Amino acid sequence: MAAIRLSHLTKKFGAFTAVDALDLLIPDKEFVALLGPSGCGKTTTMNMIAGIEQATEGQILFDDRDVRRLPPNQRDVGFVFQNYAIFTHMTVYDNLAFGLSVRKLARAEIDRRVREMAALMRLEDRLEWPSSKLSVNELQKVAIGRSAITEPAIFLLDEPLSNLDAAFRAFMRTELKHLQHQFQQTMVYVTHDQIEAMSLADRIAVMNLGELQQYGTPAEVYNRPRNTFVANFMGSPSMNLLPCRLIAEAGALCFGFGEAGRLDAGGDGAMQHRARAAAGAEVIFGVRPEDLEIAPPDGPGGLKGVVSFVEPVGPRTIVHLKLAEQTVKVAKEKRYKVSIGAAVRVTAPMAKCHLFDAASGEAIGLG
Amino acid sequence: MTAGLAHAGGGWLPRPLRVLFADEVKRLGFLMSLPAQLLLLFIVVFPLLMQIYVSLTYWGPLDGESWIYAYKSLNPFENYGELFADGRFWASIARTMLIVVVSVPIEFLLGLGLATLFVDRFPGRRIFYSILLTPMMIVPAVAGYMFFMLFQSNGPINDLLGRLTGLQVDFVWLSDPDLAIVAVMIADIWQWTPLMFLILLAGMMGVPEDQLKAATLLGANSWQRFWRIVLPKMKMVMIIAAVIRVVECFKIFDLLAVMTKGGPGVETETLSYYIYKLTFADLEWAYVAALGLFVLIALSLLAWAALLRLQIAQRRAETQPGA
Amino acid sequence: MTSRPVFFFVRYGLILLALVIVLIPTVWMGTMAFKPFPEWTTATGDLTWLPKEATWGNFEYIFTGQTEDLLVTLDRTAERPILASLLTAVLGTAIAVIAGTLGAYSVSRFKIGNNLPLSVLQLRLFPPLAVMIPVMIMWASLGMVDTWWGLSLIYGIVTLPFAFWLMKTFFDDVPIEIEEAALVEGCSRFRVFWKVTLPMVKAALASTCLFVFILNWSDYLIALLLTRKDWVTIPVYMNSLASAMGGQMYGCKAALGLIAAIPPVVLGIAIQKYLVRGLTFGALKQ
Repeated sequence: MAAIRLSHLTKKFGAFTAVDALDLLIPDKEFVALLGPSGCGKTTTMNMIAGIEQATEGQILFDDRDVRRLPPNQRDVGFVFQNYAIFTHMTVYDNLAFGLSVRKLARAEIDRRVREMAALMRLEDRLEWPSSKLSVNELQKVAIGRSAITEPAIFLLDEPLSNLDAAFRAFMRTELKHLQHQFQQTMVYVTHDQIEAMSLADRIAVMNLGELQQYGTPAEVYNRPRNTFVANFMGSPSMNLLPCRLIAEAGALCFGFGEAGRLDAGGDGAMQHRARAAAGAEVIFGVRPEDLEIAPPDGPGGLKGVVSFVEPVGPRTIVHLKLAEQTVKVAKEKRYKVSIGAAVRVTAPMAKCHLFDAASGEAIGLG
Repeated sequence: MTAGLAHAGGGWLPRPLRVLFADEVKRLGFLMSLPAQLLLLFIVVFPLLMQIYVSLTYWGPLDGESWIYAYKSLNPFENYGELFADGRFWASIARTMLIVVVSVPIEFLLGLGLATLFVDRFPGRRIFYSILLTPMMIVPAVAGYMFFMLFQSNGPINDLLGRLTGLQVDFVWLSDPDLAIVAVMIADIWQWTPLMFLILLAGMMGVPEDQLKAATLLGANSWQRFWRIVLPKMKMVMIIAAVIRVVECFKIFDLLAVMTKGGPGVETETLSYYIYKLTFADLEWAYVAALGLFVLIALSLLAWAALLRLQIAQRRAETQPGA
Repeated sequence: MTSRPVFFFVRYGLILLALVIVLIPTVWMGTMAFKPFPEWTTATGDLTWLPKEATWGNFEYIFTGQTEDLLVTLDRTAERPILASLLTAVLGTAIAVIAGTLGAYSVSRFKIGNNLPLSVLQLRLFPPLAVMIPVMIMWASLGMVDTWWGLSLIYGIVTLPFAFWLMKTFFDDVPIEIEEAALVEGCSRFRVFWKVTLPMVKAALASTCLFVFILNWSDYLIALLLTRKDWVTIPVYMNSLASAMGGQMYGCKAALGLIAAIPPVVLGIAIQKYLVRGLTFGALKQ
């Protein structure tokens, strides 16, 4: 059990910087997801925590222990590989026992713990199988059990669910959550799937191009994105990000969307405050599809648009609207009916809207 | 199109072949494998029959008669009886075995050791690798001659040993009854360790890297990784390397022929060299035929037994749970 | 993963040692080839590793039959054996590769000739001398002893297993879909082989040729058994030199050895990445 503190962690491959001066504190017993698109440096970060790759600069502390110069086999981390890296020449039993037997534990002790872990992972009837004959789902369980059995202080998982079929992935997601409670370990989980990160993690570290974009609880990251990258990456369908002009008129502020109309910053104090902070700047107006409302075309306020197409996605219906210069997605309930070509009006509750600096992409006026 | 062509082109063939040739795949397959099959027929079936025939006679090249008339000295199995009483034959086999059981394990261990040095990248790896492979590419007879020169009593090896020890070293390597075979073994090890190195390194490079990483992260040190992951995963490769070398080393001839000519006396006379002497010095071709046939049958039985064991092992693996 | 400095030095130290051991015999022969007669042995002075007075005399001697240091002249010079080695190795390679390639394709694609893989392999199992009596009788009765075609033929047969197995693994690696596409286009099976598959394995085929050439070039035993005078190859000629002259002809034989050793080493390095596959009959790839 240990907290992980990364400070100024940097990894360079020649001229390419994979991870750039990363600072991150992962509290003890927490489940933290490193989230980002491929190539964002999340796997490199994890490999540095494990010791598979040497950091170019910076510190890695487990509690107060500096482990940066420690070889991976002395770091006491569990690691589940994306392709599981099961020892194909061994039985399931020997795979599970590996970590204990290299630590030269007594045979009886090893046997007891292997059987315990097998029971936990529901692998009892597979123990004598050669691991080359297991299904992908079973391989996954062996991989987790094999790492967990040594009770490492820190547990690292590299996209462990990405090879599974959809049904088993959902099942494993809940299973992992259970396991984490059971093991009481600090878990770091690398994924590119934001839904996985949202549903599993206590905290999410969103990364892009080797840099940390935002670090916070799923709710924070989702509700208060620090920049357009995070705003766009979290949530499906992704947030509407609309460039607009900030217009000050008769003491009130509003957002201009050209021909489509204006949105009044309204009486909401927070938004007024934020908009003032950005006065004069080009801004990007962000609003999640599920926060937008569709109203009849003839009411006051809102933006005028035309339904360009309707996309039923599982439990929801996504309505695509064409505004004068932009397109907007609106998420509605499954039964929502609207005809293509219909003229509508969209309104946005200002309390749920976001404002970003158009040049830097940074959120404006955030905490 | 297929059928039409076959009829047009195969009309002159006897009926069974015409049926065979009606199918384009079968026809082409037959024709394409024909050259190799004919070569095999030419070198295996016909000579084998001839060898069996000649081995039952006393025929020799000086008889002045063609081998066809060998039946005149027909003597069922007397050559074979003689063979069991032939001390020189059994001694030559024992000597061959000695070279095999000494040289091949040393080659194996040296090759394995070198391979472990070359698994990961380091500056100069490619060039060192190429240089270390050169001995096995050198014509064996030439390699034999290199060592013939090196092992002269006034040659560089004695010279080098003398300088290292400060003593007067004058081993007569190639004429010494005990040292001659050692010299041959050294030459064999020099020439064929690279082959082991090459094969074992390829096998070692084939061990999945992620499994090695996984073992490390589970706490295994490099020694444990080597014994528990690398070696077990290389089992098949090691068997292949060992089998190839045992088979080849058992045939050893070129090195000997150049270095010692089986001497001094018969101290380095291996099976191949003994047969060579019988063939060209004693001209006892019928006896050689019998002897060769005996070796052939013995080796076939060995190979057959090995294959059988392999098949049993395979079947056992298949009937394991989960199959 | 982690490399400690100690291991770094141990590694280079051991590799250096291996390099020295590997190079000593080769270097000794290489320098011997350029040493004049008085430097061949310690008989006339100290042993030196480098020639004190480097000379082309040894090469001159084996090609022209005479040189100033040596009184005896050579009645048979080296051109003929070099030609014999070259010609028979090339023709033997052609036979092995053609028969091997066709057979391998048939087994790989049509599953016809399934006896071939094991049958050709058994050619490698037995000591050649154990089965040479009937071959020698056959070669004698067909008038093939001491002829270029007789030697080429046996070379082709002896190296057939290597050619066959190498080409089989190469053909197995070619995705069958490509051939199926060509078949759908209306190509005949042979055309597919000739115009589609063979060009795809061109590089592999070339490597196979070089590999088999090296093997044929390296032979000593078979040439010893099946040639007498006209078509002896370099190794046989080289080994007969001393006996003809009485004393040891170190320098001249070293020069000859150098000529024999260089082609396979150069070609071997050129086809390095196929060596493992070739030497293990395709069981292993690199």
